[in-house]
Amino acid sequence: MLRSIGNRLGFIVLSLVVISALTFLLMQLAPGNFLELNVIMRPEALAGDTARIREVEAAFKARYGLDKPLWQQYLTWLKGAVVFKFGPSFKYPTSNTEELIAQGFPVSASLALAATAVAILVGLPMGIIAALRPNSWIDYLITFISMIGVVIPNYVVAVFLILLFSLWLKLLPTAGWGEWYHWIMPVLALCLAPLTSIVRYMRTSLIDTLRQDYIRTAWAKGGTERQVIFGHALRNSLIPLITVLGPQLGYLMVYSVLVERFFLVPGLGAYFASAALERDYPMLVASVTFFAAVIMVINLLVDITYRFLDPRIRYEG
Amino acid sequence: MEELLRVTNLKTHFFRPDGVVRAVDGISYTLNKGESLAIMGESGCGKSVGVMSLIQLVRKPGRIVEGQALFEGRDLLKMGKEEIRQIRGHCIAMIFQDPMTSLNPTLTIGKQITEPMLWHNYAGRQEARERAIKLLAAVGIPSPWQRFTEYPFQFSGGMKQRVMIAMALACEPRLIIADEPTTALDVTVQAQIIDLLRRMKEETGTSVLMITHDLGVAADFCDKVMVMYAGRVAEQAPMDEFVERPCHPYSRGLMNSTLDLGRLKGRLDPIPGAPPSLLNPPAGCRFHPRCSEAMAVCSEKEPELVEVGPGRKVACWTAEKEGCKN
Repeated sequence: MLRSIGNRLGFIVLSLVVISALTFLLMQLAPGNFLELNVIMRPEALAGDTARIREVEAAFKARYGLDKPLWQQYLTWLKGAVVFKFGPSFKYPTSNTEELIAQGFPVSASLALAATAVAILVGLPMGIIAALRPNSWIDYLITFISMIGVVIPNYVVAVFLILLFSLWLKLLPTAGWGEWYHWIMPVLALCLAPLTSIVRYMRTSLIDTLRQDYIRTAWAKGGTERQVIFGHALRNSLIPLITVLGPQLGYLMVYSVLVERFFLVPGLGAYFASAALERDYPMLVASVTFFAAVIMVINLLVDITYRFLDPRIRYEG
Repeated sequence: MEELLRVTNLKTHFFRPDGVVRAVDGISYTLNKGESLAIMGESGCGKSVGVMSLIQLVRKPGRIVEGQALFEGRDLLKMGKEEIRQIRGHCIAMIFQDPMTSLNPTLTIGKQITEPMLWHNYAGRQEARERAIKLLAAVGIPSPWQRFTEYPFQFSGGMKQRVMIAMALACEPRLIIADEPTTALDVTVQAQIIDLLRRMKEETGTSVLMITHDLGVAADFCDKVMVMYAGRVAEQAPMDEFVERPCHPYSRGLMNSTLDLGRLKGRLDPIPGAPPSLLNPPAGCRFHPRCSEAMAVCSEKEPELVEVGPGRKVACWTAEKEGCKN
């Protein structure tokens, strides 16, 4: 098992090298660059002074090493990346990219974990109840609620939550960060999508498991509902669920851009979105690579979890 | 001999959107203590549903609509959820057809064998463990203490069926229902499993209801036989008499379509056609469209199950007229 985890980690590192190299290349293909967008395009700053513009450009390129050939730039970046140093951001020249990530990630990650926890705690029981009484009114109700969750995007939910809690009920401030109650609306907005997919997967998976021959065996052995459903069916029906859950968590950690902006949460979302729009290359490469790393590590954790749930995988090594 | 089970006029129907499927349509039989009964017939004639009904394991849209099944004097069909649960795996245990899918892949063999003992307070944890290991040894699994902690996928098909048998024996049931226990296994393994079942039956004195297509297995193992056709009983007989002279034309058809290497009497003689749809079975005797001896009355009136000898009953107009021939 340790050996296969080692192999996977090696593969992850290799993938990250490829992904970052590709990002480096693709960035060059995008039209415009940070200087054009932020300095030169603002006429009042340099007032069309061509010599001055050249000077600024040269200084900028020298500072960030952009005057070197592309492959050299990449190797320099890679050397830094090994020790988790991605160099200063264009947009926030006084901060290194890794510092920004280190600030934002814990916030985004804990928000994503909280949302996932809520989604599991609410979604699993809902899915189980729906599966145990298929085609009953409670099943239809739960399926209906989870369909709504699929259809409505989380930023619309965010707006609705602000209306409900801030304007009508006047219970919560519309945005902010630092107090426990600031978590409520972002978590609610973020948990809806994973919650509904948990409900639907849990329902289908459990219904399928309950039809298996070994469940009939468990009934025939004289198991109570609790013994058969929780002792025999639930664990096996969780296996497919974990496959969907892992990537969901990864996306939440990095891609909760809109929700984080709505509620002014100082997470990663804001940095990542503006990095792409404003051609903040160091930030962009770092964020893409970091996102890829997060997803791959989560998938690795998912696979390790499988081993605990399914002995067939555990024993194959 | 003391009577263990008396089933009277059992009817289990499936209420499907396209109509009512009369899977089991009024079957009656008795089983004494220590006796074994073979239930034979083609696929889909209601054999499995018939025995599943006994411990109320029929799934929706199936429902037991009528009948009585007295087990040691108590009606199994009238029992509530909790009452029947205490019967399952404790007084009546089941061995299923496909050992590959009938064991939970994510639980150890040990856990699955001890479960019924713990669920029915038959034994404490430690005691159950010891008994499970003893049972594994008894059903012929080498190094049972080690196998106890292994998972089903580490066992071969035949070994899994041995585990199923050990599991069924766990609480010393008075009745074991074996639903085609050898169908999914290799021929060489089949004989071993039947041998094992026989040994266990002799050692424990339990009664057995065995569903099988295999006349050889049935003749080898069982004291009596019940042949079912399209949800009804065609014939009931003591096994030795049945093998000598089957009475119902369908029974004879079954026998002629069995390959008998010992006799090598030439070609197989299969029954033409397929079993009827149970949604709207043919009028009269349900077998008459396929019967080589059908008469006018057969398509008009359904024959009653009548006694033609000690322990022998046949539902056929030919037998009604002239007794059991051959």
